[in-house]
Amino acid sequence: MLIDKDMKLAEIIHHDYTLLPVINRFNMHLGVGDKTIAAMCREKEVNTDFFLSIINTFHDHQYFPAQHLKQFPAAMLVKYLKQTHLYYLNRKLPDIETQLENMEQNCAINGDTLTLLLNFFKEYSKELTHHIEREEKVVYPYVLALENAVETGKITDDFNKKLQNYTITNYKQEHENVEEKLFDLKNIIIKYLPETQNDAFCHVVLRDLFDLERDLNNHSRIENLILLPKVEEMEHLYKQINS
Amino acid sequence: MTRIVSIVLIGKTYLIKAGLETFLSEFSYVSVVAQFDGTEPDIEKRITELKPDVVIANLHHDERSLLTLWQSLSKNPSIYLCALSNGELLPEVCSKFKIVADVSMDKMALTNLIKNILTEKGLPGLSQETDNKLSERENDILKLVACGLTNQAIANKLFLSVHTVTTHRKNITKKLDIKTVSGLTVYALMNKLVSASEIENSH
Repeated sequence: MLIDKDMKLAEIIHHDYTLLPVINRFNMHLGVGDKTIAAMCREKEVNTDFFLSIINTFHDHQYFPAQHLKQFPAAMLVKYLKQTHLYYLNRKLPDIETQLENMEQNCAINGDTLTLLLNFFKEYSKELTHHIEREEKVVYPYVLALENAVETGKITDDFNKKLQNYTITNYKQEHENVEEKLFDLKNIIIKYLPETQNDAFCHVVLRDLFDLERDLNNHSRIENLILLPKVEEMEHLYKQINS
Repeated sequence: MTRIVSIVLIGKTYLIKAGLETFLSEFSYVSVVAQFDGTEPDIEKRITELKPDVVIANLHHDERSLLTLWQSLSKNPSIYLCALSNGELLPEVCSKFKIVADVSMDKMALTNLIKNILTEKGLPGLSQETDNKLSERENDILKLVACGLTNQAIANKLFLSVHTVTTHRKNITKKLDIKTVSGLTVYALMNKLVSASEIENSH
């Protein structure tokens, strides 16, 4: 189903509650009343077209209007991606860690297995956090400065130096594949957890891991297929202006 | 244990891909894992990373892309390449593909085509490996991987070539379905193949 601006947000949530975290990223919260998407976007000063593009991308994996998404300003994309990072760092990762700690305390599994899994997750969490920090400290400021330089046509020595030292191709190489660790963690719980009667806690953890994975995949899609090509285009444009 | 055959669809025509996906959903042990339109950058790399069993390419109107795709994907013999033809594909192009399906084929013919692929892939009923247990040698290597040794160090310790160690590691990953070193370490510790102190001492 394609989500449209005249639909009520409440209806969308009933239809696909997994969109809740995505809606949050646009500063929209529960208690949505009877507001349509258009009305909510107006209220929250969000670009309706951008909101719909993102929501539909999450809702239907086949839907990915790459060309359309590339037309939005990099600043808009970056703002959205930063909100997603906050969700991972402040909600998802701490939540899963707490669930794993619950699992450790309440599942009657002998030995160190649950501690091992908890530590494995902590290691993964650290890697993902480091990756996010790098994006926020280096990549995103670079992207915003680049967009500004292209738009204003202003060429500064300082930015030229940055461009010499760092282009988006560096980012491509740095975009580490942390996904494999997440997959391994899920798989170990699914296949190799010693049998226990009390695996309800494990279900909760697994569900959260699947949710996180799905969100990360969508996030990567936007970064790799929209932001990166857009930035490559801007770098090209900037070099043309500069010559 | 029977595994699921993964399929990737390529083609610009949405309706054909949607139709193929619906048709394939009627089969057990078959799943369409990704769809591309054929113009994506790094498409060959992205497909290879997915490690699909079958790639069905509806690119009969663009023989050059079809051949480029064939050139890079055919390097991986475990991927079955299937070209979708509209009846006008040149014989020399068709001959490069393991399977050529025609859009005019009826359901029965297409079903038989898919069944043949599944049979060749050892399905249904037969599993790829009757036993995913690690061999003694694989256990030895897993232990050393968990201790943080490089492939070269493992090769030296066990008097093997690096190539042999790499092959064993690939098999271990395939059997256990665990990709990262940390994951393998957790598995090794969980199954008491190695102890925490052994790992500590080797670092």
